[in-house]
Amino acid sequence: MADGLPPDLLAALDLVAFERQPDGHFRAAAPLPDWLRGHLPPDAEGCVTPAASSDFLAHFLAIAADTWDGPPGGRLMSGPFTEPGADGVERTLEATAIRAASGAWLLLGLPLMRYTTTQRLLQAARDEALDVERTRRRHAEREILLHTIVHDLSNPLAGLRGSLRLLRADALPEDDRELLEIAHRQADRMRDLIHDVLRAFRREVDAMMPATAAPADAAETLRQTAQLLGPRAQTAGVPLAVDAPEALPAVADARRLERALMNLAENAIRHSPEGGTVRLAAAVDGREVRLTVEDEGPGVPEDAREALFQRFASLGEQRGQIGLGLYTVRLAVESWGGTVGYEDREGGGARFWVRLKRPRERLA
Amino acid sequence: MSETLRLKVCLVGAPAVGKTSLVRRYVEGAFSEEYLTTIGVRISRKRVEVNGEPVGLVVWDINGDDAFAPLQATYLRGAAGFLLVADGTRPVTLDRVLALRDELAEAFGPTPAVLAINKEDLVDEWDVEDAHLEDLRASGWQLWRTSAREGTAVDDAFQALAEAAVATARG
Repeated sequence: MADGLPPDLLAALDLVAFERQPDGHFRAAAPLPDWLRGHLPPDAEGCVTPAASSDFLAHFLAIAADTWDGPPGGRLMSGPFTEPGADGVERTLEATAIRAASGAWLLLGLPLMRYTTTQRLLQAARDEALDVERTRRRHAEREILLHTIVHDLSNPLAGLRGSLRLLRADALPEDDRELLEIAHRQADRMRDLIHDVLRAFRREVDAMMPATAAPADAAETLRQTAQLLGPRAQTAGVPLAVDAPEALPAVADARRLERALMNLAENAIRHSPEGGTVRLAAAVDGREVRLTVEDEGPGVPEDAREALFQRFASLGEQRGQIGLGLYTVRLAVESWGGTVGYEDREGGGARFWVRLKRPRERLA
Repeated sequence: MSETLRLKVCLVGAPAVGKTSLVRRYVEGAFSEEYLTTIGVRISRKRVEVNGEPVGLVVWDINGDDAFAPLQATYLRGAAGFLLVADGTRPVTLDRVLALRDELAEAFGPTPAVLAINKEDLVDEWDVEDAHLEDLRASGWQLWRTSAREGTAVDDAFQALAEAAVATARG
């Protein structure tokens, strides 16, 4: 391989190619750069014994043996590793084992650009995730406070409503009866508001809980959602159609995923014309799982899309709803490292989608 | 006296539980308030004594296991012990690492493991029930409430892991 490449090209790439020798040593295809001389000192003949000075490479070479002994074209990458070299200086490196027709090769390089970029992205993602967790804790603390306040409001309100009920309307003059009726309605409204505030707050806190270790079966959750919403869809005259494989593991919490899908599907039923079908689908899409909820309604107006998943976004939702539904869906999905979005459905209607990560393979 | 035994031990757990800080405290005796996520694996070495015998610990600090950067089994092969790390202010990290323990046992067979519930210094934010930890102890876990910031029980947790790993390696 290196015969066809000028040595300074590999050096410019901060990459060193070693050919595996029958005796287990590795011979460099070009003079070693200084940084690598410090990490893996070569012997007089320019060979190195990585396992002697690197704990990581000792481990990696043992795994790479299968690649080198396999057919040409095989490749195994180590991922970044950080360790002190023989000179005591800590470096971040990356190793690649390649089985080429010309022999068995070990590439060692400095993954600086990719490492830095990856670290920045991963750091941002994890900082965000930690922020969500901290916010959840603060919300949970506020919830306790809110419960206390609401409880203190509820008790006198219950007394007030009880007293109003005991008032004999028929003993009152006509004008006073009307005032009593207004007082009844306002007291009921206050009770409903208190319940709405509590419900909305609890949903918001719940949506921010991070994912548990066990993945959810997205397909089964989708089917359960459809089953739970069956009677409501039937009443609305909107058939529900489900298209999902038998099982589809995804990074999510099953209980909260069901609630998020319920939210999207309820929206779809609500905005669907009578006789229009609401379709729920789940499928693998590359390294993700894609869930969609479609309806044949008017879709989301252009000017409402930007704030669609924001807190208190107005989507012309039915009276009595606080505009937190899609917001809590987004919080939940993002807490699992997923994304949520909207697009027009071909042929008219709305399509809400949720992308979830597929769980990693079991350790083996 | 030169080391007669060299053992690889791995730190695993959710991101931001303090794995790197524990290693830094243990190996260098230092602590930094800055959270810098680990990419891949960071390897450190520490010489310890177990029953009067010098042992070389090769400590593999492995990136936090989450949806953004899942744990890679290749890093874990050949480990003589696992230090499972959770954050005492985030109970979900304890659930995750306990679930991970089952996966490790399934994938690599019985391997010594010690549990470190870190950030013990954050008294006001501590959110793991004492009763839960007592239950874990009662079910056989070697468990330490550690603080990488203050150094609390850090050496104890690593020493317990080293002793368990040596005992298993010696059969």
